[in-house]
This record gives sequence, C-alpha cells and structure tokens, in this order.
Amino acid sequence: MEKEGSSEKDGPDSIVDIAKENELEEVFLVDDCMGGFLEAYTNLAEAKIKLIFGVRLTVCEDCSQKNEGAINTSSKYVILCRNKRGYERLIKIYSQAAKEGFYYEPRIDFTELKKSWSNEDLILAVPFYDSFVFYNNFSSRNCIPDFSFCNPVFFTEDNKLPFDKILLSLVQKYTKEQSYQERKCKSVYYKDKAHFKAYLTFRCINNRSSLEKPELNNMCSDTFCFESWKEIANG
Amino acid sequence: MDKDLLRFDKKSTFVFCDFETYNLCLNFAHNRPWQAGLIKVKGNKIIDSLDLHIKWDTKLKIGEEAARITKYSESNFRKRCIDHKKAFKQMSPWLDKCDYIVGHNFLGFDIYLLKGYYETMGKDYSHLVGKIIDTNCLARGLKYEIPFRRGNGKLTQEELLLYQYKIMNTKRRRVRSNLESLGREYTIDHDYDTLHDALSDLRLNMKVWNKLKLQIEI
Repeated sequence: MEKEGSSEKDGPDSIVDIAKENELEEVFLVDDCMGGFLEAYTNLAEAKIKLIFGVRLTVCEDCSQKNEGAINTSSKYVILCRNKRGYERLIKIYSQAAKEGFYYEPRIDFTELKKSWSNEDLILAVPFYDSFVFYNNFSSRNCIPDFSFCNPVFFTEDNKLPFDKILLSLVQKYTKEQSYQERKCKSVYYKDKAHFKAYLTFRCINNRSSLEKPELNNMCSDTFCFESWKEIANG
Repeated sequence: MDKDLLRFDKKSTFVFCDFETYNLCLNFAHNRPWQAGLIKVKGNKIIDSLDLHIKWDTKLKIGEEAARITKYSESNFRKRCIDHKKAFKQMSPWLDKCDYIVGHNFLGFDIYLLKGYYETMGKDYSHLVGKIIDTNCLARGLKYEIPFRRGNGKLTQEELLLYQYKIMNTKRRRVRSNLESLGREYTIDHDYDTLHDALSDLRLNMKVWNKLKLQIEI
C-alpha cells in the first residue's frame, strides 16, 4: 500500500497505483490485522480514492477455549467498516481477538462479537474460502454460525479450483434457504497472472518451503489477481 | 440398491491415471508432468493402457529428489518422449469419455496438474472433477473409521466428492496410506521393486481399489 507512483518496474506494485491506473473510485482492502490501515487510508486519500477497510478474522465457538477442539469450530469471517465508528468498533474487536482470544492467531466468538456490533457501522461478510460452509462440508470441522445480530453477505468467487463449483452450489443453497445476500467478488493478491510465480515464491518464503515443494494447499490458480478481476468486470 | 454398488459394476469404464512430475508444485508456473500413465478398466479387466513420456517447451528441469524417486533416466526419456500436444490428444479422450477417473492422491495432486494441462491446451477441465475416485481418501476414510454414508438412491458425484474432500482435509498422525503400504497391508501380490513406474503404480492402484470397493458402500 505504498504511495501513488511508488511501483517499481521489477518490484512490488502499489495498490494505489493499480487503483489509479484503472480509475477505481474505491478500494476494498481486507487485511489479517489492523496494521495496514493507516498507510492505506493516508495514501488512498492522497490519491482521492475511497477506502473500505476490513479485517479477516477467525471466529470460533468459544474463544476462551484454547485447544485443538476449538480449532475444529473455527472459520473465517470478514468484518468491513462502514464508517469511522465502524473503524473504532473494529479496533475494539480486533484488540480483543488478539489479546483475549489469541490461540495461534487472533480469534473471537459470536458472543463477544455481538457486544461490539452495530449494523450501522459494520458489515459481516462470509468469505468464499475458509468459511463455515467450506469447513463444514470439505473437512471434519463443525462450525456453527450465529447471525442473529447481523445480516451477513456471502462472497462468491470463481478461480477455477477443482472444488469451486461444488462450493458455490453449497453457498447458494445456504443463502437461498436463509435469504441472505450474495456478492460476487474476487480475491486479489497480485496484479497480473504473470506475477503468480513471484507471489508463489513469496508464499513459499513465508511458509519456509520451496517452489519444488510448496506445501500450500490448493495453490494452483493464477487467477487471484487484478488482471482476472478486470476480465470479469469487463465481461 | 446393492446392485448399484461399484463393486458389481461391469459396464462403467474406469481410467486409472498417474502423473510423474518435475516436482511437487501444483501449478504449471513451476511444474509439468513428464510422464502420464493411464490404464482403462472395465469389469475388473485391463482393456488398454497408455504410457506417455511428455516433452514440454520449458526451461524447467526435473528435481533431484523427483528424479531419484521415479528412477528418471534422461536417455530413456529422450528416446520415448512425444510433444505435449500429441500426448494430450491421446490422453484426453480417455479422461473425457470414461465414467470414473481413479488415482491415488488424485484430488490432492494430480487433478491440479490435469487442470494446468487442460488449460494450457485451451480446454476446460471441470467436467473431470466429479468423476474422481481417490483411493488415498477412501483408504484413509476406512482407517479413520469415518464411513461413507450414501444418500437414498443412486450414488451422486457430489456426495462422493464431498466425502473424499472431507477425508483429505482431515489429518491424523501415524496413519499410513501410501500405495505400497496399502498393497502390503492387503497382502496384494505385486512386484514392489517396480513401483514409481507409472504403469506399475497403476496396476497396484487397481488392485488396491479392488480391495477398497468391497469395504465401502459406493
């Protein structure tokens, strides 16, 4: 999230530059922590681009439980801020997840989430991958959501992974039954398809593995990029 | 309902498939299959087989470990290799037309290479996914004592696929399910010294499947 004009030819691309080049009026930035917010907010504001910030957080059944059993009730959610008050609420939620609920990663449960929730300030989104729908159907986890306090939006994606179609049908079945909203989206981790190998290298470094043996589940698609988003957006 | 079980199926075509690859990356950005083995089976009988050595226009090289495990020989490869487009023409009709694609750890590995291969050839691969029977998943399901629960009526692709994914994503320590250990566990007669040759692996894979299908209600 470097400043506008900071992309290097053979180096990392700035999200601000990508947004500017493509005349985007707003950017949805979903981070795994709160750390990136300030830089993103400042640099996007300078470029006159609106930021919608969110955090991808693990939600489990009871975050006071710190054991293997608790992992089996965990899945991911995205909490997006609607406004400044939403940002303040998100800081509170994230701090609690990082301080009280931490077990390998920041975690919160629905009981605690409810206490800081306001539908006027926050949006709860269910990501396509790593969601409770995914884990309950594709693994032995048993994740029980509680949406009594909010109206979640379900993200759907198509990255041509072998299980995308079946996962999509499961998400659609659930949203239809529960009358929840669905939103087609695209997770973007790099700019162009051609950059996939560089991204994979980065992930391997973080995973302490190698390109020959990445040990990264399902890391087979080069469509998690802005180029693919553009293809969809342009029909 | 029992008549519908795959163990009694004499009509369907099963293609057993295995790739040997340069390394263990799941994407064509850094990997290619250099050998594809396929055997076509109907009613427990092998009716045809393919052993394709595949040449790619790439700077990628087979990794040292992969070469050692698969007993890769450069000279043998050069003698036998054919262009990847030609290999695809031979291989893809088998996969496209068969009723089931059987492989060991196929959902965890080979399907990703197949995806890359089909996409390189400008083809969609998604119709293959529902046909997959992964003997690694089925064997693990038995060892974990998580039975496959068939819904009412005929077996659907979706229920079998979801069951296999469930098992694949359930990790338990000290559970061995590689082909060789399963073969020995089931006291299957096989020339174990020839393993890691694609067709030898597939013949053992078929024998393991013949044991598994008697224990699972699919």
